[in-house]
Amino acid sequence: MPQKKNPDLLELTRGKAARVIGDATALMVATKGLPLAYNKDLQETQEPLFDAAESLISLLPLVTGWIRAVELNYERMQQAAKSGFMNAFAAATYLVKRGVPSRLAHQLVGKAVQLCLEKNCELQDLKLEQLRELGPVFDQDFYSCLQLDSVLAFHDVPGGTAPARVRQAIADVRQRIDAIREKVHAHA
Amino acid sequence: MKMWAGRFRQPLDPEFERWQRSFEFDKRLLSYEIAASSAHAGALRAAGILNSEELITILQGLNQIGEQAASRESLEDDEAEDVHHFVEKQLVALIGETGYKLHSGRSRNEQIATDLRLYVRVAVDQLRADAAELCAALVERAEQAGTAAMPAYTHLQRAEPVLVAHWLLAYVEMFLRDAGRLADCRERTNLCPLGSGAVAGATLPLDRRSMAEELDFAGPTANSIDATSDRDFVLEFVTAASLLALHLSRWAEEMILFSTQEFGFVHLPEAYSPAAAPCLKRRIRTCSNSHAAKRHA
Repeated sequence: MPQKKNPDLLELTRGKAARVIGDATALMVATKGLPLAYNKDLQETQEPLFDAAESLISLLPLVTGWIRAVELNYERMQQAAKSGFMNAFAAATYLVKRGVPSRLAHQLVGKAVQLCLEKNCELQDLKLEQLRELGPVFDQDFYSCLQLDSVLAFHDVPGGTAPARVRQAIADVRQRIDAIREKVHAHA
Repeated sequence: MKMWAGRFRQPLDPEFERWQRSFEFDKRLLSYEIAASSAHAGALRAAGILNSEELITILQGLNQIGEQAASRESLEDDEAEDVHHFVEKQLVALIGETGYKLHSGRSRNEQIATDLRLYVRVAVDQLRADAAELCAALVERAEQAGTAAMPAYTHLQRAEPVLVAHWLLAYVEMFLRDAGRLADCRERTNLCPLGSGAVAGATLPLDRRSMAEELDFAGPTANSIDATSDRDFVLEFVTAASLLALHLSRWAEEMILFSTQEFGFVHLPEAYSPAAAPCLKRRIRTCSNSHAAKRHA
């Protein structure tokens, strides 16, 4: 099939995981019934160790190379992030912030989604009158809260996806990576 | 000399003798065996078993074995039973009977335990270094992604939008935990079994603390019975490695999904993605299969 490009590295990565997990299992079974102290069975603990260590030591740099080389299709991802009612949770949050009890808010948005499915559109495509028929609490500012930027910004807690939080997370993670590098370097 | 010549009148069945050897795989422990043997030789000198000339001769011999091995592509030895036997044989061939003195007051049980701990320690450091670079690559991609968004899935159904960077950092967290587990394992591994003897402790007054120090261990192991039979550190390492492999596998699975035309989030890099096997090759395989089928018919 000339059109195909196969994800061999990825598939082998899954395969190597099976193998390393097998090594761990072999070790557990080899040692679980041994009386103290040394028994010749322990000779059989060597190969699973070497196999697990060497499998991963040869794999990791390849995965790192793959990650550096892979091309991400941001446009397609962004498009997918904008459709499929992924702002429904943000819509419900909008209602909650205006005093609607959470359970009712979810029901209201559920009805709005139902309406969209009938009309084959997204929440932001509904007219304000149509929304107000479902409940008077909807207002013009509802539309701005449905935009991708505001949906993302909503998740503004440590560990959340709000851009400022993610920027902070990148800085934190960099420090933790450097700490590992330093420690490994000190052992070398 | 065979390792246990003396006690028995009958030689080992040659097939069994060959079958039970471990040199074929434990030869990768050679550098650790040499380091541990050098530390043991130092303790023998301090205990008055070796004089300083003998110590120097043994250390030089051990050093030479290491250098010779490094210059060879593969280690072959028709007689060596295991890496310990190999070193002893080589040493005696290089420096004569003094070489046999090295085995005074020690057992292969403590030697293999020590060699394996040294191996695990190096493997931990290597994997941690590799995991750090993997994380660094993911963080770079996260920075490049800026504020680009993608769907996050629960139940493999679109759930909520997230930043692409946020998604990449999820994997970084997993790999950093793996690196942490490996570090924990290193700490418990980093004790020295030398001086434990076969099971009850060395019969010579060996300075266990200085042997541990020489090999950069945090100290000697506490119990000789445990030290000669404990493989927890191997298990701990391979279990931590399994989790790392498991995280890599989850990542790989997600990339495979995301590279399908159905998702189309990821373009597979050509340098790592062979084209599907051309039909010609398949035909040959079918052909040989049918030959095999005929032979069996």
